[in-house]
Amino acid sequence: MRKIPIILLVAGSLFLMSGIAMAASSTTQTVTYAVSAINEISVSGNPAALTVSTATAGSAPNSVSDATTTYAITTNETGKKITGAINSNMPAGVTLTVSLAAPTGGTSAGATSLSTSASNLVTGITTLNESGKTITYSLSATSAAGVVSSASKTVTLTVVDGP
Amino acid sequence: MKKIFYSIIFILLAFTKAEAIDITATGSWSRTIDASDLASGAGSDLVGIYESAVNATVLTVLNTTGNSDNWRIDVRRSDSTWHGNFNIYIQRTSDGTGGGSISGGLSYIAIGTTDSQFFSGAGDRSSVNLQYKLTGMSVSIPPNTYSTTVVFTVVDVI
Repeated sequence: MRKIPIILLVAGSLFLMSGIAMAASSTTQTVTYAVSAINEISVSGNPAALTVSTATAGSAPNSVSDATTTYAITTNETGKKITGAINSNMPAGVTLTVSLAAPTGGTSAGATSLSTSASNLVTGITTLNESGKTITYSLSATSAAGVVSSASKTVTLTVVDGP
Repeated sequence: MKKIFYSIIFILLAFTKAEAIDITATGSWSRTIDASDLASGAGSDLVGIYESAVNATVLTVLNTTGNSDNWRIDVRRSDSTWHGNFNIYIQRTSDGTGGGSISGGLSYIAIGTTDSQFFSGAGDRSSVNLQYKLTGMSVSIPPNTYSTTVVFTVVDVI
């Protein structure tokens, strides 16, 4: 019968030691990150002035182009596109086109006439950040346009939802 | 009678010791990442590393039996909405105050989903400041709200 208290003593001691070693209480903190939709586009600067001033006899005036500027884009969303528009329409017989080099995975619409209505310039853009993509402007005029005074247009490139 | 006496004594002692130390944590860390976090504007990626304030969390350990009552803090995380590219780290940025001791945890350790030993000490200790670091952010992370619960456990040790 004396063995019983000894067993209890040992068991109790082990239990006590176990309690000392493993006693634990916990508390918590929550760490939260919100990643917002990011759709940023910028251009490297303004192109040189485009002046239509030559022609081959018997043909329409020669168009001129500029490919000295670039754009950069960052988006963390899928299914985006770049549209382009100008602040006021071109004079009759004068056409300004723009062509954007496509970033990886995107598709360029090629040379696209600009107007006050937004036109798709690049489609199929998904989560990327790229820069140095060439912008090519071209200005053309028909003979019927006559002499057109120098003017400036503001071209707005926008990243929007789209295929 | 002796059998019953021993049983009661040891069980009472064991439970008394097991529930001695408490831990509390205050503060939190919330961060919104947007276009202002791009490394250099359009065309660049998001800054990859974000750090909280040095006192984003303040821990207190109390109800020890005295300055020689040793303990350690374990840390883990329990994800709610998380992204596999994220890694979160934690470090201790202050000793806090108390009559015992505190050591370890002064450089970042990764917070995993299982307990890791963070730092240790003895005796009651308050105002221990903790700082977080998040890595792995990029534009490839879809817009969303991500959160994880960081669990601090104080373990009473011999």
